[in-house]
Amino acid sequence: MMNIATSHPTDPVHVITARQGWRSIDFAEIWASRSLVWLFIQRDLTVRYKQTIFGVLWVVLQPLGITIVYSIFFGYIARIPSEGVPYPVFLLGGTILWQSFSRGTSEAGVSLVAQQGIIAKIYFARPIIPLTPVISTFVDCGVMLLLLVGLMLFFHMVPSWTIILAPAFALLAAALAYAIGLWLSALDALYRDVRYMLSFLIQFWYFATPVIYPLSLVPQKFRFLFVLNPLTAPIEGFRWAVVGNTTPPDTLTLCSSIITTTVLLLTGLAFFRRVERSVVDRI
Amino acid sequence: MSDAVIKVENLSKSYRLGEIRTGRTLGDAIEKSFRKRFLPNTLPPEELLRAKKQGEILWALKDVSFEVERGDVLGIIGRNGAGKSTMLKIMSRITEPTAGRMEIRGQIGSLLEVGTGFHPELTGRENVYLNGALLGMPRAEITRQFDTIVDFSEVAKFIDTPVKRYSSGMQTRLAFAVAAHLDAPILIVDEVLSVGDTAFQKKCLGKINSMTSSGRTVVFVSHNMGAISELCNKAALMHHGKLLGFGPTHKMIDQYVQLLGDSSKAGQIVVDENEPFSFISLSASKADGKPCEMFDIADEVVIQITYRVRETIPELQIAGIFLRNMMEAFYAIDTDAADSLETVKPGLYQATYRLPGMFLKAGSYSVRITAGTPSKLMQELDYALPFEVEELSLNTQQKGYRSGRPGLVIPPGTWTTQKQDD
Repeated sequence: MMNIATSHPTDPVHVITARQGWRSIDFAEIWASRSLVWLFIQRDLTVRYKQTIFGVLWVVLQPLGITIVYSIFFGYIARIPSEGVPYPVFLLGGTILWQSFSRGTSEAGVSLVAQQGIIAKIYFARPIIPLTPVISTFVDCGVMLLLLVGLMLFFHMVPSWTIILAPAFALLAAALAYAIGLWLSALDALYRDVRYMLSFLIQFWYFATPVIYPLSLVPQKFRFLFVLNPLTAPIEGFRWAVVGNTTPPDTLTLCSSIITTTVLLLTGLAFFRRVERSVVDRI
Repeated sequence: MSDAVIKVENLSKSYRLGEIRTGRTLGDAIEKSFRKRFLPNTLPPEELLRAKKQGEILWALKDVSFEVERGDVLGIIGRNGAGKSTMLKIMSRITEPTAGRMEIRGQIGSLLEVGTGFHPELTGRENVYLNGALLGMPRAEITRQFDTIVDFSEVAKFIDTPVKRYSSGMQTRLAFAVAAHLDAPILIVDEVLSVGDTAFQKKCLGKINSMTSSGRTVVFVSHNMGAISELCNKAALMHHGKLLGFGPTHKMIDQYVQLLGDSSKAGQIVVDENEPFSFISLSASKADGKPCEMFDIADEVVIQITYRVRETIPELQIAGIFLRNMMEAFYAIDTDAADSLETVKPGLYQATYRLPGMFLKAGSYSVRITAGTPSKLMQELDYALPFEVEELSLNTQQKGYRSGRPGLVIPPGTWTTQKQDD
């Protein structure tokens, strides 16, 4: 959307025509909508924390609860190895990014239908609709990181200098969440059963990603599956970047993740753009 | 070169009838594509029937062309389903045309609904920024206009209170205030005038009037012919997706009234046996029960509505909006007298609404009759029951309710005058 309101006769001409099939992605339009994205995020965060008693604490309480319960079952009872660091630290190192990823993907996946009231009445760059929930859930990532640092200090550990790389891995996971959110939200507008498959997909993905167990536990012959899983690299990378002692993702897994994410993101934007054209008529 | 800011050329928009329905599932799509591939030419019988009966494609707009020049205030008029809203939606880029093109010179501000995106948990201030940004106002512009917006809305005291604590009137006022300060050279407005109390409506009309006099181009859709004729210098008359006429407002309104007279003779009631609710018949008659299309102002007007209910409907309401010379005169709901809404069981019903004599002023009347629940509109009959009221039995020359004088109905009030100084 053109953002600058001018009342001058030399205005740009906008042509509306029937367009068929695939169209190029309008990156300029998405970039021009950044202040709207920011307002949407502000809205989401305000609404999420305004009415709860503990507010921002909830962001920390949930992963803390998961860490305690899972540490008892997987760390203490099942004795899953944790690459030489205390299991709770290992687990939380993976859970932080996983939580943001799964929440972001789920919310983005249903966002287009959820915002139908607005998109039927007003035009704005529609690709920002699934982008907003992804960013606002990844904001929580930063808060949860403080929890992890606290937990490490509790175990007499100090975050590694590589922590400066953590945002890069978070960004990769966020890009992946956005890519999948684009695909799913467009599909969800076409076929409502997508949202029922979504929770199943997320749950399956959880166990297919080394969040609660290290990759070293997986038999060699199945490793290639984890190379193909684009979430393996950001989860392992984030944990390594903060904790320091765990295994970083190898180059192959990292490249595979970056390539898969980029492909999903570009095709997702293109597919979303193809569907958004008729979405108002369908919803 | 003409100074056209909006150029519409052969614009068409079609809907495939199967597509408009919501809740299509993946299963349906797979079944459909399977059928297409392996079982050509077979459609389920009911789908075939529907396709035959209605034609698979509905043209919401068909080959519409016109030009709007800088500073024009264009009113788009026509019955429900004529294509007015589709036209506005294409102009505001919400949906795309199927064929043809539209050229727009300059930024468009589009107000298809006031308060779009208002969030009840956010404060008035936060909502002003969010709503403004959605409408396309840059942040700096909102900040600059903020005080004016708040002043206009008359909710300054509550600007930092969550909007959920506002009355609905306050919400609408704030929403309109944001919209009214949208500084776009081209404005698209859909029926926003029907918001708020009368005083605020007047303020809104004034605001729109001043916008139009400042050289802005405005495209305006309304059912209120009073507002259209007051604001617009040009009008486009739409009918079944086609442009019937384009020109000076009063000419178009005349043509429209004529069109309604012609088309309303055809019985418009289509009874669909699959719907939970359908109207069966409507009639207007005098007190003696004889159907009638011409009444004297002293006559009682009896409206009878027969309808069938096929499933139990909780909170069913039948409502009539009475239009006098195309302007909304008053609204009556059949549950007005009841304390609470009741569940209606299947069956055939007849509702009767009596309007006493000496209530309707002389004029052409029609009724928009709707049925539904408070949350869902089930059936709507537009411009039903056209009838005339004339001053046959009375000489109204000296009367306040003479047809040319202000006011829509004959008020029931009575005057008494007493001399005070003995």
